[in-house]
Amino acid sequence: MSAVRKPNFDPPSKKTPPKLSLVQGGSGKIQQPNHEKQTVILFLAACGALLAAVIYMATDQKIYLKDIDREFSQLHEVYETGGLEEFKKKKSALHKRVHEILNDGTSSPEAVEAENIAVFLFPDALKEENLEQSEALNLWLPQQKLIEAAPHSIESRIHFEHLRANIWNYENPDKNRPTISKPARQVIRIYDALSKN
Amino acid sequence: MKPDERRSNLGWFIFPLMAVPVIGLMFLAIIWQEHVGPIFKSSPKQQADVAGSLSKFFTPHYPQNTRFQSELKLLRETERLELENEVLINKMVVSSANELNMPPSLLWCLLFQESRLNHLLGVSSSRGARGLGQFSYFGFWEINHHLDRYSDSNAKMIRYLLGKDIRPLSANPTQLEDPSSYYYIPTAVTASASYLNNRYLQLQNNLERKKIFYDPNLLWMYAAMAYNKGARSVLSFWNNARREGGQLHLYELLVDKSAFFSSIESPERFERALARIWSEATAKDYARELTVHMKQIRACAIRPDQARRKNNGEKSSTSDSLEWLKRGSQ
Repeated sequence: MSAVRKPNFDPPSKKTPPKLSLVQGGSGKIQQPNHEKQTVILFLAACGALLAAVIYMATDQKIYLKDIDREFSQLHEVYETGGLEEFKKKKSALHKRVHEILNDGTSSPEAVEAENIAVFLFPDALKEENLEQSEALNLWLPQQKLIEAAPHSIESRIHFEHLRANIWNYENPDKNRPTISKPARQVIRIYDALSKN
Repeated sequence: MKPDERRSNLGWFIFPLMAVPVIGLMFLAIIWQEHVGPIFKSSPKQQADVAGSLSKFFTPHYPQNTRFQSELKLLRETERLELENEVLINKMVVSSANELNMPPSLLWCLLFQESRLNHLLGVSSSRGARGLGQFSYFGFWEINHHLDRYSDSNAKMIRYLLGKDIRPLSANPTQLEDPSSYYYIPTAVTASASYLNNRYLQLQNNLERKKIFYDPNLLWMYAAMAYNKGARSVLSFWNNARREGGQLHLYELLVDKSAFFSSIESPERFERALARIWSEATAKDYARELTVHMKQIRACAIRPDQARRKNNGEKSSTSDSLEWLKRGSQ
């Protein structure tokens, strides 16, 4: 026989405001009421957002830098996948970007990066007092224009050989461990692709 | 109208009419100077003046420094430098330097610094730099294709000293006595002199295009720097000097010997300039190498009284002219 349950007529007891943590049933779990949970979550979310903002501010330069760098590196791939017209379009967009950064007048890392790209690809974007400008205008810009005018021709290959030698002679700082900078290497790679027969 | 009055009225027409061709000629002269070159080439006397100024700065007795002297003595004693080769190198250095109006001590010291006068250096290796002046593949390219990029003096000098144009030049290890081989001493010296001359003319053209004045003696030192670390290293150093200290600081490094010598004392200056091209670690390495290279060249090729940095109280004539420039710019 089942025991008859006695109806509970007790008036609902007034809930006392819970303490910060209540240990129930010896389960070892700390339980918090809902609104406290929300407060903690909100607090953590705010901290996270603040931290993310700080990190973003700190790495903003690098992200921006990677952007120009990526665009510059992609020029080579753009030519191989999209052809000469697409290459010229992307190059022109990068030219505009580099010009903007250099005109900004700041000496941030991205300005240094833009300057290095400008030396090898857009010397007109350099400031007039920059002594590297006239070297670029004489030593590799004419060859770049000639290669772009008739890519994959025999002449373009000859122009490429001159461009490569001029850049190496201009920059190579170590005869025993021959090396050139990344933008210089990248420009050689681009015009190598454009001049291959 | 009286005759006197008529004459004076005529004057009002004649003088402006005469002024038109004079002004026109002046304009033509300016355009000619800008686009073609100097109207009046330097006379032999002026050239002798330049040579005189070089000989006051660069030593006629090289090597100056005791370190190179003892090294040279050791090379002779151990027969790593044969007398016959040493005499031939010295003779070719003096002849090529005279033909190119270049200080012979600088050329000799540069070759000593690069290879310790071993004209067969690198002959057995398949990679890296070769011979007396440590030529790389692209060094050969410049001599073979762009010998006359800045002036025809290099080709003239080579034809005059070697009797013919010996190009195309290569580092062929099987034909050491072939005049087209860089392992042949007269060829190596003349080709290295041409490469150094091209660096000088490259830097000179750059400065003259921007109308920046310079001391030819110091420009030869910068050319030696460009020979070793590329013209870009020098131009970056100048760009950085202007960025950090303004146009006057750049002038200072180009005309004031004591400012120049103090700049090559500290690798930090080079490091800051090179860090705009290379990673920090690489820039540090190159800056250190460049400082050592320039200190050795200074100690070997420059007269001791010129190579000494001025004391604080002592002022050079170039410092005076810079003071004047600074006052003018204020």
